[in-house]
Amino acid sequence: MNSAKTQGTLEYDLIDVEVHQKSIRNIANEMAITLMRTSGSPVVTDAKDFSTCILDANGEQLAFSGFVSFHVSTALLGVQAVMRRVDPANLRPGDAFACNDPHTSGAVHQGDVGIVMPFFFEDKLVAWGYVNEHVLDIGGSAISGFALGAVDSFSESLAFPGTRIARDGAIDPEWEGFIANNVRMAGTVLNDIRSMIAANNAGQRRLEATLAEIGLDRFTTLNEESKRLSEIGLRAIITSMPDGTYDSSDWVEFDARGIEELHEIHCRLIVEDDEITLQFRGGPQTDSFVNGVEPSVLGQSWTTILAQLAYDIPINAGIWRPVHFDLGPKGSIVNAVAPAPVTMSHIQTGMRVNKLLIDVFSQACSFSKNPVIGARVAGQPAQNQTYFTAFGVDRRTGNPTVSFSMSVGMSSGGAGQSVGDGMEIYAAQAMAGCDMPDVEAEEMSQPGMILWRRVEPDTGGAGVFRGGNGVNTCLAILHCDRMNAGAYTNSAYVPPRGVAGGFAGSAGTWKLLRDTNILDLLETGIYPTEESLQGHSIPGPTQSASLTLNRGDVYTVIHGGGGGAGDPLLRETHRVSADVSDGYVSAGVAHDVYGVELAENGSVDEVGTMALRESIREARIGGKVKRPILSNAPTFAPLGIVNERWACNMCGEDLGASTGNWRTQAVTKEQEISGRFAELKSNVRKRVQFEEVVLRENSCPGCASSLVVDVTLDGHPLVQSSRPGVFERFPAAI
Amino acid sequence: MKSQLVEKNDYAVGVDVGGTHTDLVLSGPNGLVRSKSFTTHGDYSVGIFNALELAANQLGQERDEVLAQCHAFINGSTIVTNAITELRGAKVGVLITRGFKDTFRLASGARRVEYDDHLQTPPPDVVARDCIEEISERVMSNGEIAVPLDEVEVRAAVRRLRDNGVEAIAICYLWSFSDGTNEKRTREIVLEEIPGIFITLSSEVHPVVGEYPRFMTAVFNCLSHRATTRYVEGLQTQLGNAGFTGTLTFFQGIGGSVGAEAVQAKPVTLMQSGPAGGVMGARHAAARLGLTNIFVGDMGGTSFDTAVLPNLEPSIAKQATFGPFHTGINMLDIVSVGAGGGSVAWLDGRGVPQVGPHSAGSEPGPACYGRGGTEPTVTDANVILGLIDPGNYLNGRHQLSVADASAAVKNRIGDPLGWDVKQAAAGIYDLAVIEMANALRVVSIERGHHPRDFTFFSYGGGLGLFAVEICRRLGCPSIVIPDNSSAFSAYGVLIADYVRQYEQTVNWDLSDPSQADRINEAMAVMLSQAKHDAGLEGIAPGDLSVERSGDFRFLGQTYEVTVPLQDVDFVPADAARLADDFPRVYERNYGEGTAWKGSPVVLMTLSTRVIHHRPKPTERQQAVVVGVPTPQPVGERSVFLPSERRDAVLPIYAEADLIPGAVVNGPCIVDVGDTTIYVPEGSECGRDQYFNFTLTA
Repeated sequence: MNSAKTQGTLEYDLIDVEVHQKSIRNIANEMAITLMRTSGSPVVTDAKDFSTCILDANGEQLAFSGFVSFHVSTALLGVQAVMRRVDPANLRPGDAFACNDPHTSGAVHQGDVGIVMPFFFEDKLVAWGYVNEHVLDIGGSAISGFALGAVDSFSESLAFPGTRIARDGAIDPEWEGFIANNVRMAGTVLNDIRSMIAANNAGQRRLEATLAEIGLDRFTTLNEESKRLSEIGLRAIITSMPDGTYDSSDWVEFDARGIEELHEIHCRLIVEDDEITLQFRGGPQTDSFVNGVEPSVLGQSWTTILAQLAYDIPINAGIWRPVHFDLGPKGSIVNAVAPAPVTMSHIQTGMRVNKLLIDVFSQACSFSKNPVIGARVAGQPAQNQTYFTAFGVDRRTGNPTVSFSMSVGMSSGGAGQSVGDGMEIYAAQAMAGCDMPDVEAEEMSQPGMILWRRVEPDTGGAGVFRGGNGVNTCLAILHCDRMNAGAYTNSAYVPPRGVAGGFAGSAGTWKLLRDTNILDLLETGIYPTEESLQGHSIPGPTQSASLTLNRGDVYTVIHGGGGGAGDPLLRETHRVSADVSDGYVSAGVAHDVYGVELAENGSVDEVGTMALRESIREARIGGKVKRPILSNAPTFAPLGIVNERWACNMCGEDLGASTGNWRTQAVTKEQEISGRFAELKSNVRKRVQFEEVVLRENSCPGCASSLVVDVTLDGHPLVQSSRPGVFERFPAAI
Repeated sequence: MKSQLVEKNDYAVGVDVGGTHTDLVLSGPNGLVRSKSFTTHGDYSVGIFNALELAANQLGQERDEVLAQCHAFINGSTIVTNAITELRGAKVGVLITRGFKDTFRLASGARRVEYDDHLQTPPPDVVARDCIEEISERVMSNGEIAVPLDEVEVRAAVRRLRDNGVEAIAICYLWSFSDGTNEKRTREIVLEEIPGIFITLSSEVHPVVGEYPRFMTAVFNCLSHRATTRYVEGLQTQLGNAGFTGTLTFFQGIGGSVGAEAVQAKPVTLMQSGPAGGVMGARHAAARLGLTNIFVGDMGGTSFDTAVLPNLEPSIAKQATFGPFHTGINMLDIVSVGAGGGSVAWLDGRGVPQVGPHSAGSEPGPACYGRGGTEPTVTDANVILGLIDPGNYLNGRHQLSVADASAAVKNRIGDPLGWDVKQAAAGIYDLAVIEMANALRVVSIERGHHPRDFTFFSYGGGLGLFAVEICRRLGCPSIVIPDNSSAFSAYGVLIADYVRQYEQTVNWDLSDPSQADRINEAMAVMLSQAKHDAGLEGIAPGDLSVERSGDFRFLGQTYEVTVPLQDVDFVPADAARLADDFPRVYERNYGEGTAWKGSPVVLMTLSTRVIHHRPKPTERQQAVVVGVPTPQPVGERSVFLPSERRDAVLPIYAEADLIPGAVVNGPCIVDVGDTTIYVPEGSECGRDQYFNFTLTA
């Protein structure tokens, strides 16, 4: 415990600081309440896709409210953009500035519009308010700004670089007319912008009342103390992570133009005493909306830092102080510059950033002797956001209609944690608190019916704690003769990885069944199931801007599951048998992957299981198992360093000098991933045009425990191992 | 049915069976008496009869003498709340539309509002997976049956459920609220296969669009039926044996009571009944005082419950959520935060003290209970500060240990921070105040109100120590601590009216006026059901007051705004009028310029609430006399004043000496026996004609 007291002398009573901190956060909460009460948009009420933030006059954060955690960066960068652009002498109460451009005003994508307003007290600028909401549309070539066809940011959407759109607390009629002329569903979008202004106005009023009570000097001092406390809290966590260098690579996918592109991105974590540095590197920026850009890379980094490590530290400027970001040279896919297209920056490169950070933090935490930090080892969540959007005319009303099923998009599995299995419909790490619309709600608003919505077994990666399974949802178009559609996904070729010997989870996939018999089935009163439904499917890319759907077409989205945590052969057998009877794991996978022998009544044959698990171990290393497992305690930390030698913590086997890569001493089985996944009953798209994606299962030569299951490309070098105690930074950007 | 006896019999009983205590208020010809006993979880009636005996004895009567003259026995209880929050109850089977077996697992998105990934876990299985059976049948979004019920499948599935030993069956079909034919036919088949089994149809328990809350309501209804039936039937028998011939009713979370048969058919209506009793009691007491806007607070052992009543109208939470479960249960809109007497103080990762939401519960309880608790709680802080008299806590029911309280606060908070024990206790007190004040503020602001325009009704044994400090934080000027505040939920239960609520989704797009007849038909069905149900309890249709309301939204939104409707049928011209009016109503709720002007307006769900007003008990009353001399203190106590961080010797006044019109000035303590009121410096405490304490912030 690093108590505030032991780290320095407080000038103010700790209770006063904490009461103040809570009251400022309460103001941010009230801004959020105002937004929810005035917006009425399902994006706000259901998907909870918004946030509010209060920053001080210097642009340092004081409080943050909201559960789209990547907005932690957009609040800061948006206000900084306004501070750069605006002459303070020309700033008045009631001014509002629009920030939605990832290249100039700190947004993660153009659909997330931030509204920045200055807060005044007695004619003095004392703070900034920031409210961000995903508006339903922001103009450009695709709805909601997801411009799959765009090749540069100019063809994507409107982009406000921190533009003053309001004076005296109301939107400027000139700007109102301009926006209305450029976006779809203008009434709703303008209402959302007005709601954001109203939320900031509420913040201004409450902050004024607070300042009238405590005065500016005390306000400033308590803010500084509060930032210091958050800083102390995060430094204490970092101190518990062993010093060293930890690396991870992943690939951003794009195949909408017929070429199976994979763009490599890399993250290096350096832990040094009570500070961390996150270095991101990647190939050149590309001409599709997948590019990473500073706001999304920083924002998604905060998402993972908050979910994995700093979940109970009040968010303010203090948490930025021990964390250093280095995005490398400009113009790369992790540090793109205008006019790179970026409308899926947060979902494509951004959600890979989550996966990279989960990997490097898990590596570092696995070496920690602090039980709380040591337990923060986790697999990667699937986070495959697979959306269908379709537009057509409803044949019942003659009105235009949209099919954009939120529940289909978000239903992917969470990762296995050291404390339990991942959950279904985890969605994305940044989406805490989001709801999934009911089937009836979606059928009421969309031109079709949902045939099933079910948990897809075996999609969660196997482990001591397995990944959450993905959800399989099937929709039939019934009420439009023809619809123009787009399909998006972000994780079809390179699936989420497990941790500590846990297996990779399934990737996401979708299928389109054309010319089906669904209308006939419904006509004759036969329930449409996978068996009774017939039609033909045409293979295509995993992303497409130009699909045509006809009446009676049926599309199915099968989401991926999260990666598992720990060697599946160590999963408690009763959990496996329960999963089989509950339908979450198939009997085949229970046998082949978990090594559990089930009797006919579903109960565990413990003797048979022991023998089966032994034979799976033998198969892993191609011979007899030399060493017994000494302890299950290091399940989530199977690798350690003893006397400057790598060792298997499970059995004590020596794995080479700690200056080297332990993988050279492991028994590694490499297989093309789609082949191996077929055995695991998991889904992944086979890459045929370029190097294949491969799974490398690294086992201990002593006890045959699964140590790490790598996902990489055919012919790529050994995956870099953790380097505790070593500090090796990439050279700084030019 | 007993109406001819009402005038003759003088007594009525209100009971609130809580987790730890059973509170009882007995009304007689000369006013109210209250009593408290320990809740007896094996057989709740034991605790109830113990409390009744104590109350009767205060009037110099025997228990059964009182019962024989009692015309009404009204019961609030935590039984269904326990069944649902602990997921303990009957083994439930589910028949569900094919393709949607996993609805319960997906739980409308079980992702919690937390950053911490360790908290993002799958929801627990309320229904065992092998007790969920998929059935081929399908109603479409327009209410048409596209796939008829496969009766052979139903029969086979029901037999499997029977072999699995289910005790109740929930029938959960998509769109059943718009056509319940398949659910009804399924019930017939179930009863043929398992005669007499308890069945809930989702289309009957909650005929509202949105399958997950509707299905969960059916499942929870099944889950809680066994405990409810046992409780209701047990109480009926015991009271009958003791000579009770009056009316036994049960208090629902919606704030009114109904008879035994009604709650046995729909036990979920008992959810949150105790807290709802307090709210209705406050409403009654406030109306008598001529107050218009109140918000209420009730501090228990584990939580602080609060509700806002603008114009004394409690709002209804239409889709109550329990943990990860969304339901369609209607209850009074009461928000609970983890700040009670047993809430634990701890140091977070920054080394900063926090209070709650974790609680020491009733076992081991606060450290000062001396039952092995080592974590410091809010109650421990109060003992250290001297606000609670350790020798006379709850009329002496608990002997408290100052040494144990001090050790806990010292070890966990004081020593790590280098603070002395009193400073640490004052910090815990402050944080408890801020948690409760913030909850009240958010609850008010979320519903569009400001605390400064409201009077705070504070009840529950512990809140009198905090009420003034909470209101000072909120800018709320006045506080009422009502008479009988320590058993206030039982008081609210006692004054209950008959209340029932009916709902039906109608999904009327108001751009189509020709639908008016269909909507009137739906309303007529509800009203005739309401009259039928009331008739079963001996209430004539003419004695019912009917309130109609509609849940409206703009097309494309997901949440509705409830709007009161006149008690007359619609004519086609009403469609345009309602659509034109709605933006104004919407903007009154959410602010100017927020209406989705130009979007079609939909009347999604119709509701009817029927009320039968019951006679109210006699309560003590005494005219306020001007110029009452200030009472003399009965003692004094050394207190460390939490807000001023200094020691002071405070006078203690006895409740009996504060007669209507009397006023005492803070800092002082008013001892009510089972309640303590802390009047800080600058506040004054008086007594009104109904013996309520009135305080200024």
